[in-house]
Amino acid sequence: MVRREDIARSVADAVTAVPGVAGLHPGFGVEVATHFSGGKLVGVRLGGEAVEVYLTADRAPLQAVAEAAAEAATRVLSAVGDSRPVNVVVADVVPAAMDRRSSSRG
Amino acid sequence: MRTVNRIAAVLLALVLVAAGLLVVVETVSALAGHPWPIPASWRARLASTAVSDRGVLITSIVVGLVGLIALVAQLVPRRPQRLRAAVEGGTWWVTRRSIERRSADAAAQGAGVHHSKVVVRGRPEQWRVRISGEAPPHRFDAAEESVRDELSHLGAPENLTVSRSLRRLGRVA
Repeated sequence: MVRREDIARSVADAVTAVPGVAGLHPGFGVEVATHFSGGKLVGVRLGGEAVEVYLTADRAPLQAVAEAAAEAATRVLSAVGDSRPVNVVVADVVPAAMDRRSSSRG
Repeated sequence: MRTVNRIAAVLLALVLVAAGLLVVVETVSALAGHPWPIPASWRARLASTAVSDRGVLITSIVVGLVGLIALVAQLVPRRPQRLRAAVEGGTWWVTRRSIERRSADAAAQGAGVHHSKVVVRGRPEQWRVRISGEAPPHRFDAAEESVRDELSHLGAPENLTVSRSLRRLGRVA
């Protein structure tokens, strides 16, 4: 049986490898994390009816980043037989993302 | 507001726990024949105070009013922390804080709006956006266009409503 922390780490690795994802985000208020014996992984919440991934984006438009992140997380979950939906939340946007977009248009 | 709620809940819980412990200790000690820790003078006064006493009435009214205010404050709908973005591409969300901050920056950088502020309200799938700040009147349209452009890149739905309450920027002498 695959351990919970391994799944969370795999999801985190897959999501942070997506171009445009600067990193995972703890969310606001209650920390978004997967807790396990001996630690926690911030930015991925495996509990509940849907898996939640909170991230910081450094590329716009955000839709492409969010969709790619959701696909990456879904692939990891499918591989371990978890068919729950993935909710991706763009919790923060690096200002440089918008600056790069502006300069690329100009 | 969530933080305030938590602090208030913790304080209330602590008060209730302390009061409960006090009642338990007082009851057990009274049954044992040595009432403690409430002083005898307090106990005698509490036992002789009628419900119709002025102090009891005033305290009850004040507590009731505070409770009503707390109830109304909790029933007022709050702005959601995160908003559902372009629904066609699947379910994903973006935090309201990011949208407001990035849109305000876009108004400032794209149209030169001073003290730009963007507030997003409405339901998760139906955004209502208000732009405020100071700008020369001929830049008002550019400000709205900058914000709309930014919002589209942030995943805003197409049916969003944008209003503006921009003030005329004072002429610099």
